[in-house]
Amino acid sequence: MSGPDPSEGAGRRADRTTSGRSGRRAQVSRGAGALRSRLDVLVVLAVVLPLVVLASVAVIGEEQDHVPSAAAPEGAPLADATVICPASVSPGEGADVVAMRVPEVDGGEVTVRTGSARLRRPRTVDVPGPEPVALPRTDGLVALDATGDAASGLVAGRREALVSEPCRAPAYDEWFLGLGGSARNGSTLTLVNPDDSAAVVDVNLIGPRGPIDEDAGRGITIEGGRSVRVDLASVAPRRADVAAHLSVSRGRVSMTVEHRYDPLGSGEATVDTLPAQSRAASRNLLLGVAPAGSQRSLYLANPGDDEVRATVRVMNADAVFTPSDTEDVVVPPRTQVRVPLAGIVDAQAAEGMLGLVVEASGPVLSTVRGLDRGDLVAVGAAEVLRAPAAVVVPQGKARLVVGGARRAGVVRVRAYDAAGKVLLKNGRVEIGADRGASLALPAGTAGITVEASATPVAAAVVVDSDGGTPGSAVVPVRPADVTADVPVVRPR
Amino acid sequence: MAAPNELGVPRVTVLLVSHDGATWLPAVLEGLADQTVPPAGVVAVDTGSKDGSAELIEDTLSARGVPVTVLRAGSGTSYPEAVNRGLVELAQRGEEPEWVWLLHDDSRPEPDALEALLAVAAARPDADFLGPKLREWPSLRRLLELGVTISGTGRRETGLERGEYDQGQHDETREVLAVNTAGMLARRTALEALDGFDPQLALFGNDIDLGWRAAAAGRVTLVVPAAVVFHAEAAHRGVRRTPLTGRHTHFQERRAALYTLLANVRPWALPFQLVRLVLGSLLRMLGYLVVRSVGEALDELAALVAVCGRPGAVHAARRARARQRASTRGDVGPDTERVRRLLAPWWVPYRHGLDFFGDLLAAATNQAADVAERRRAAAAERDPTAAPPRRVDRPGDDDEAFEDSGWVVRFLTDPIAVVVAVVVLALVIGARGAFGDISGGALSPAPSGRGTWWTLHLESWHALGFGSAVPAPGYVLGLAVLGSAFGPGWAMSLLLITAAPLALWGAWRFLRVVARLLTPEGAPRWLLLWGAVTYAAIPLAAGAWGTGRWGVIVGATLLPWMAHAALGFADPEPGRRWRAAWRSGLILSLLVAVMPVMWWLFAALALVVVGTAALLVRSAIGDRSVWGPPLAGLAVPLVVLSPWWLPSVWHGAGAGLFLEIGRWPTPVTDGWALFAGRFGEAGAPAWIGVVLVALAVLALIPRASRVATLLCWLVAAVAAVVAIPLAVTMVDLPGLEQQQPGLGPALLLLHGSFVTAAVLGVVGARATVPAGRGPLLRGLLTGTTAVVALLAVLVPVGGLTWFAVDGADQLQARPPTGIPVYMQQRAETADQYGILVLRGSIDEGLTYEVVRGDGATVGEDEILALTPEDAEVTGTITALVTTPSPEAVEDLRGRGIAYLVLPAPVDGDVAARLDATGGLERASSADRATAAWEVSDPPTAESVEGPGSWLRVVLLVVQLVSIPVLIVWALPTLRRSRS
Repeated sequence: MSGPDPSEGAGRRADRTTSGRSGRRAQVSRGAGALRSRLDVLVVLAVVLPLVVLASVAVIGEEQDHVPSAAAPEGAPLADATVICPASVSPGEGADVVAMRVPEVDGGEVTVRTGSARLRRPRTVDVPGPEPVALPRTDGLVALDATGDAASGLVAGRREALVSEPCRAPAYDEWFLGLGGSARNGSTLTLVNPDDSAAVVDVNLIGPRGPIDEDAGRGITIEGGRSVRVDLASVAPRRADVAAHLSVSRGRVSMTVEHRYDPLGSGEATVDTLPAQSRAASRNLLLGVAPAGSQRSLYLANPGDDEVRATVRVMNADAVFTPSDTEDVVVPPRTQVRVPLAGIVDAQAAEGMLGLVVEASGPVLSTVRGLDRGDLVAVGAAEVLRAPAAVVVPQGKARLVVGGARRAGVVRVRAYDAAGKVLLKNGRVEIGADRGASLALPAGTAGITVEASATPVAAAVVVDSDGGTPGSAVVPVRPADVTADVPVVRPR
Repeated sequence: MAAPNELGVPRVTVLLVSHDGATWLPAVLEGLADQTVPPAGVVAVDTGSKDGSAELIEDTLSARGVPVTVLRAGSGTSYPEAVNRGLVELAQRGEEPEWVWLLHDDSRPEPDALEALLAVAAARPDADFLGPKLREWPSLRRLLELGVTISGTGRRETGLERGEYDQGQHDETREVLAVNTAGMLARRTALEALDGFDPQLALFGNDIDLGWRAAAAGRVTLVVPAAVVFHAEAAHRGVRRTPLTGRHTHFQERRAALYTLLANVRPWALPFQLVRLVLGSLLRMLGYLVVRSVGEALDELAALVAVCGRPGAVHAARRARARQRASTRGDVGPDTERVRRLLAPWWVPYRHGLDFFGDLLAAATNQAADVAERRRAAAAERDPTAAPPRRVDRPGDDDEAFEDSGWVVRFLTDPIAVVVAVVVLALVIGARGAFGDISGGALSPAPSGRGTWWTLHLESWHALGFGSAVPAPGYVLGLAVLGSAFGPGWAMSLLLITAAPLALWGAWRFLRVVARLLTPEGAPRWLLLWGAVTYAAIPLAAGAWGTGRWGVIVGATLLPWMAHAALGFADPEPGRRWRAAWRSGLILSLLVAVMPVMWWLFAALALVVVGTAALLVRSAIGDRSVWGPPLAGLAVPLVVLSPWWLPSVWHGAGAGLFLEIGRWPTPVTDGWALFAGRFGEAGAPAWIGVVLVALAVLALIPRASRVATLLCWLVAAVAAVVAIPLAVTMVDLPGLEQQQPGLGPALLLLHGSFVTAAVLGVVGARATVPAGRGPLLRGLLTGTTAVVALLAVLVPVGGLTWFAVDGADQLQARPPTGIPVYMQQRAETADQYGILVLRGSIDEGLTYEVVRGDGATVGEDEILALTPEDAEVTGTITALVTTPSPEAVEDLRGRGIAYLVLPAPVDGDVAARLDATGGLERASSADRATAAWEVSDPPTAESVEGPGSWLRVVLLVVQLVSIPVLIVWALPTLRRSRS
């Protein structure tokens, strides 16, 4: 609408025709000059007003929808803590349950309850700090309850040789991989309810061909202060290679899975616990997978609804690399697949191996299970440590394996014996991104504390038999609860 | 003068009562003297005239040789007393005339009136009272009365149309209940037997009472149309004021009517009559208030109080009548058959009510329609040289008449009507989702109870969430009224389904008047159709329906009606301008109730328009009736909606004044979407909307309509500028959400202006089409016009097609909540059984929400979303999910929480902690993924009670009073002649 008005001539005539009745006097009464200036104002307005509209619209421009961001919880002093140790795998061998704390937290008295199938006889034990404290000897269940200052950083474990048996806090949603319900590979679930009221657990299984619909695993009720053992053979008879998803629908439960490998006449049965996996991730680090062994398999489970492709890489002290000739593992949705480890990692690649890295296109869960000199060993994905941690070390020749660092850093290790005496005061492990490292621990180590500086790391303790029955165990170092998460609560 | 008896004519004495009647008396006396049958004498009773009436009578009649006696009475003498004085005088003189002819000082008989009366009296010896045909003085031909009767509501019924002309249509002697005392020929013995007129009825209504009593006594009253008397009705019309009439003639008339009814009805009907009169009087009061006759409304009330307040008088009157009857009829009782036959039929009052209502409706709907006519008329008055203002009816205009065909033929042969029908059908098809429960987007489900909206509107503390003092949105009152009639669900459905057709109608009416303001011919119907349909399609094509923005849909309906009313600001007559203010203010109140931002837009618009007008026409500043009405219109919503906006501001919910209504958050609308008339991604393809903008730009070309189209663009510019701050700011809602202020009003005003500009542009262009240019230019013009027209048709057709096909897909019946059904049902039984719903996880944050009753329904969303967060509550819930304790549960119970629900996916950490908490018991839920708990002790009713607010009561009273007052002010004046 800028420039001369194309319809001006026509418009003026129109003015005359329409004003024949009503507009004439306006034209008669005013001079021609006044008329022109009035018309000019109209033309200017005809340009300006649309431009005002356009400009306003342009000023508003693009507006984005407000997306409420997830609000991270705030830390608060931990008000209470419960740690539960399952019963001994091989009773009668007299392995102590040891309690300790991560560094730099207040100590205090802890209530200990013990029992075979029912928690009772509460006693108090003082757990002052990182120095391991032996708890009353029992082969049965042990539950530690702490409140207030005594709650933070509490860690416990049973020092049973060749068995990875850390004690854990109750959980609500966990996965276990590589379970079986057959005579050769049999798994048993131990569910412990530390509270007074009943708890309910649902067990959902997935196998190589998808979810396994078994009603027997639904709604397992655990009375208050009791434990329930569920033989997988009763839930899913004759099944092998399944993954179990345990979810608590009511109350609090500590969940453990024992796996028993029986060569059926060609040797002795061997038992170990399977590592619990709390959440699927697209990068899993399996620390402490031994370079050698037999019948070793990598289990990969995909809980999601999309197919996932996973690449298995090897980590040693120098690098993380992909062995030649390996192919991606395809994990269909809601299935668990088993891949023989020998097919992925050849002997050359296994040289100096400290662990495996599973990199996947989507969240997966992973576990390696196999035999080391006839002894069952299972390794799960390690958890990242962002704060000082502590772990109880089983009897045997132990070494610490670390990995998963984001950047170069130093991990300081302090080792204690069962009496609380410092065996290693200032162990140092230098670590970098995309490589692992290991540190031999002094003989007689019953517990260590691990503190990483400059980088988060993951760690596991590999314990070899120190004489006696040959074999090994891999004990993951897990973060201990030091603070409580207080969620951001908002009205909706 | 010969003695009448000697001629075989019965003896008649005239009884003339006068009071300050000098104006009329000369003519009255002349008529009296000219009688073809002269009366035996005249007895005049003058009640304290100060204008020499008495002397005038004496002198004039004496001069004409009529024997006259003038009795002078005090000025307080009532008509019955005056008549009695006259009768007593006759008795004292020993005269016993057979007939007494009553005349008023303002009633002039035709010369043969008495003769005609006497002729009938001779023919009907049973008749005791005879009345003439009363005609209006001085218009002479208008009929006033041919006998009267009384209706069940006390109305004086003449059986005549208002201002009916005498064409001999009623010239039949017949029996009536009563005849007017002006010209009444009464048998003296009958009058005396009935004890004359009732002294309680000083001036008005005594004739009906007498007639009723006569009929009850079995006497016959006849009207004789052959006898004509002209009557000025000086007292009734208020021309004459006496101490008896006072200033309130209406009061006297009503009092007389009520008294007459109560004194004469049969005993068993008395209670019924009393109730009917009380209710009827209140209804009549309402009627008078509606036409702004406050004085008469008060008279009505006063009359009721005066009669009912003195039951003794009525009782005495009834006993007197019973005695009278007993003395004349013995045990026979009243002649009920005669009375019933002569009283007005029962349906008469209802017909009058219907007539009144019809008149009112017609006047109200036509108020603004002829503003264009009146402006032209006013202009012509100022400048008579201009051509006479006249609307030119083109063939095909809406006044075209097809007199010979039935409506089906007329409908089918009228393409416009067929297109309108198709469009309305498309609109209803597009709105099909609204048949039944509907919700989605910004639209919540309707509440299930009829009382919910009333409660919400009236209470000052709502049991919503953890309790809220935030007031109910302004529209809740309107919904409550609608919901009372149709039920809440259907009220919402009705609103949504009828919105677009009503918008179409309103836009048609608005555009028609606007086009007539521009040219006397106005716009052709096809153009109005295009404009109206395009406008009605704006909110639908914008995606207001699909996103559940029901405020925009309803607002779009109201906007053209409001604009139509606002055209009255241009009326040449100040009174009409003020009425336009109240009318547009009332519609604006509705508009603001559903679109709060509209007020700010119109405030800005009023500032710009009044400011510009003040700059251009300086004289306008001095005239309050020019700038006053627009500002008054703006002030009306402030008063009418005060129970909403005032408490909103002081309860920290003032943000609601800038937001759209409904459930938040809604997706944001950016600048270009606003330009194309779309709400964000929702809506029809954006380019269709841009075509309309292009048309509005083209509309600036025709010079004839340029000023008008520029005005439209001015409105658009104001809307666009006001939209800037609204679009770029975000209002923080309690919790994490943010909401963009309402852009719906700006979008509607913007595109409504574009439609108006386009229509006006075509009107201007039609006036500009060159007549005698070369064929090339004409061809070019025709081609361009065709292309533009084709594009123009695309705008409404495209929008409507999109809407009818998939415009409403996002709306559905009630969405699932994840709450176990039994909890929901328990919650609906009482407010205190609240359900606390926690969503989210510890890692990502938790949100809480309280569901009470049937959940958040229409009218409650805004209250919930604008209630400021209660830090104590948040603290309690945080404690509950981290370190739960029975105290926290008790606190929640004290706040009316009976259940806790964690819909899937459940954070096991939270669930486990709640499991371990004393005072909470795990409750079952059909969905295993949902976790639910019940508070062991159910909360008490006190837990959801809150403080009341006197201020709210005051504001509600203000609202209650202001709405009817404004409606009365906004209604047109009905000029009703009194019969």
